Amino acid sequence: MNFLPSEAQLALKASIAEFIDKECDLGKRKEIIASSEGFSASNWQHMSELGWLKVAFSSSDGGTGGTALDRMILMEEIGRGLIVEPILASTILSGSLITEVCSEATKAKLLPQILSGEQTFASGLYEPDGRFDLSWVATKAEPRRVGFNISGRKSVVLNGGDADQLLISARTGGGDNSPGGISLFLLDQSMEGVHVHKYKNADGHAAAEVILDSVFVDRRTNISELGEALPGIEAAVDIATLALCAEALGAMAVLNDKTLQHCKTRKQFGVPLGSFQSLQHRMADMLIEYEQAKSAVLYAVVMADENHGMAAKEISGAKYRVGVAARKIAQEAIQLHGASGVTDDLDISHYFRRLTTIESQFGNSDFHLNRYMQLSKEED
Amino acid sequence: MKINLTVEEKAFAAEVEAFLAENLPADLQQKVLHGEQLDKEDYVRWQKILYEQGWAAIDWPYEYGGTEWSAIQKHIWAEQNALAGAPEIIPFGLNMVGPVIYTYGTEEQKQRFLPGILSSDDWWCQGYSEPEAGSDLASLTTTAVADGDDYIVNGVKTWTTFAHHANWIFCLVRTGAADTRNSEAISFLLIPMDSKGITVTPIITMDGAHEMNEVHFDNVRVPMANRIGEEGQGWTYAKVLLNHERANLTHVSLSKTRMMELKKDAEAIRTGHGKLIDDPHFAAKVAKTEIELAALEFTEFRTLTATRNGTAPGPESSILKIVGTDVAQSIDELFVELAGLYAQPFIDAEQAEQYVADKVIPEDTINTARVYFNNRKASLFGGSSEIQKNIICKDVLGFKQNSQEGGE
Repeated sequence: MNFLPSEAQLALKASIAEFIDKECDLGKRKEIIASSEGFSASNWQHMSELGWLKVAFSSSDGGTGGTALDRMILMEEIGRGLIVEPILASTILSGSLITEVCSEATKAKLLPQILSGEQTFASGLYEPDGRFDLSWVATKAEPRRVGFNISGRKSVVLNGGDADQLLISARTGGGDNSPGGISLFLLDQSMEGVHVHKYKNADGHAAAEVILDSVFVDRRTNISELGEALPGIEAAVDIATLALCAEALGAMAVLNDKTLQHCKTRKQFGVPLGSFQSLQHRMADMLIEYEQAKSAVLYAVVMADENHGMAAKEISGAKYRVGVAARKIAQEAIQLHGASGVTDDLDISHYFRRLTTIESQFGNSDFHLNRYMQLSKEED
Repeated sequence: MKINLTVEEKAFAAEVEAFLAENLPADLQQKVLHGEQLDKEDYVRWQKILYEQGWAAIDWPYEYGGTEWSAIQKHIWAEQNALAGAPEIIPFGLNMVGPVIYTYGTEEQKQRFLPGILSSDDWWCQGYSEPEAGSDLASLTTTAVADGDDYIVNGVKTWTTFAHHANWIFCLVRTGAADTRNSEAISFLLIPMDSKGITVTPIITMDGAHEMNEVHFDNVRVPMANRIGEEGQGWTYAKVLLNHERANLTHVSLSKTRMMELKKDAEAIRTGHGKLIDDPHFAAKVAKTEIELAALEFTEFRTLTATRNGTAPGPESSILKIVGTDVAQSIDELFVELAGLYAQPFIDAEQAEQYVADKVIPEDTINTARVYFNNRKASLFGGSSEIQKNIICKDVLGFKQNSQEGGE
């Protein structure tokens, strides 16, 4: 069992930390979020030049890493830096969809675009009536003589507003929530009938509703085995979910550090807040939450790396445990900072917003608790 | 709480219901039901309607323009308001400084200030917290130095809700020597916001709202006639006021209405295996919150019954503040969970209107994150939950506090 970082992983961690120190402060982040793209092209270029995007993939896919531990180390730092560039949405989620769903030929064509950062991708896998259910695909791709006619809608597509390419799940057979009959399509915004409605999420990240209104596409846009995409989609979302858990750990670690610092320096009643035992215990609880969440994530990481990525139950366990810890730590960080914690001027509220949003991504805590229970039952 | 009402109480409930049906403007109701931000004009318009009816000050004694309703009547009133989607009353005038003025003010002060509070012609804000005096309010350092018949006020107040709407501020200021830490050097002053030397700077919260402000006082001249009661007794008056404030912070009726809405919404949402309301984890959380809320309602009712009209409840009101806040924040969390994927979008009002009209995004969840974010302040304002527990420990349980731990 290996969960200790290698030399290369430590070097990566240091390089990200250095970048964050130099380039990422709250003021710059606000400017980036306010821009129409929603992320910084120059940051993105730096990230690809520093090799961050390749870390998520194995050498056979053109990357430099590709283990769950690699992605964990990367995403913890992304979480610390409160980075808005689409490493999760484009690199990890969309890249993993391609590795998990597509043929070697398609991989060879698309992965280099993602790994070089030359193009950004977005993946529309959820729908308005499906909540977190990946098998709920009401979007229809009806076969036509020379291709497909796709109609439907995709909800809260991360990076969906400005992505160069859109990966979309659509039904080529079966009923609205049957596991069979789901296929993956590669679209782009310039296609007639693709309507992308951009907005910002609560954490400042760009997202969009994607409405597909009789989009005629040729046969090559179907980039999965026809009707067989769901298992690969689930595997890719598991990879992204575990990466997201690691990002949450990074954000929680910062909140714990900053809250501790605040309580040691802020004086009320003539003494530091941290001298009150009731508050010391609150911070002890925050630390316990963090450590337990981190262990749940590391456990899933180790299981994934030792079982060719097959760790769905442990990943759901990690997402649930992280969700519980994230809510507690985010709320307590604000409460212990007092009213300044809720202001836009202080970074505490920005970490709070990111952690709150993470709770609702790729399935919230209850969803993963239910999924864990279901998977446990299936094991027995 | 399902209580058997007397014939008179039933008649009163019917009267309130009819009044709200007839007088609550539809545009205000829509804003409230959708969790949108209300602007100053919205609040004032509604409070003036209540004033015309004689129902603006339900907690005040009759002689000052209050209603002297019974605890049951107040309960009916709050419940009907929440059900109808009526705006909340801005508390600073009617619930906070009003009672201080009629309890401790001079006859002249009552005549001067109470009518403007009742009619909502005056908008008050509260100058208590300072950058270095939050939980430890008694350590405040804004000074008021005597100069003839005036005070000269210098300092900074912060977290001042709606200072940018206000034409008056009630302030705690230090009138004793600069180095005294004890609360006997604090006085209670009423200051016009258009006084020379006052500047207001906005504080934006994480929900994007501008409700809070910093208020800077730079050699502001305030007549001594604007001081309430004795010099150095302001802390005593403020504590009474805080009890009023706390007892008004339970939001039981609003929470009940929101729970009804939550259950209705959860009935309509599909999960992988059925309806959200049938998800055992979600349903258990809903049930637990409901049980807590029903108990809170009765705790509040017991407090109201034990309190004479126009006077403040005792330190037990801290229980109401803590539990009321906990329940309201739990409901915020349940709404976030209910929204599922759609807890993520955070769309500004103009774009939201367009997207809802175009059916791009569901309307019900458009303000879910905003409401959750905004309401995190509830456990911090009006004395944080930690400070409320200190009060319970000291004033209810009789624990002697460590010398450094303040009451509020």
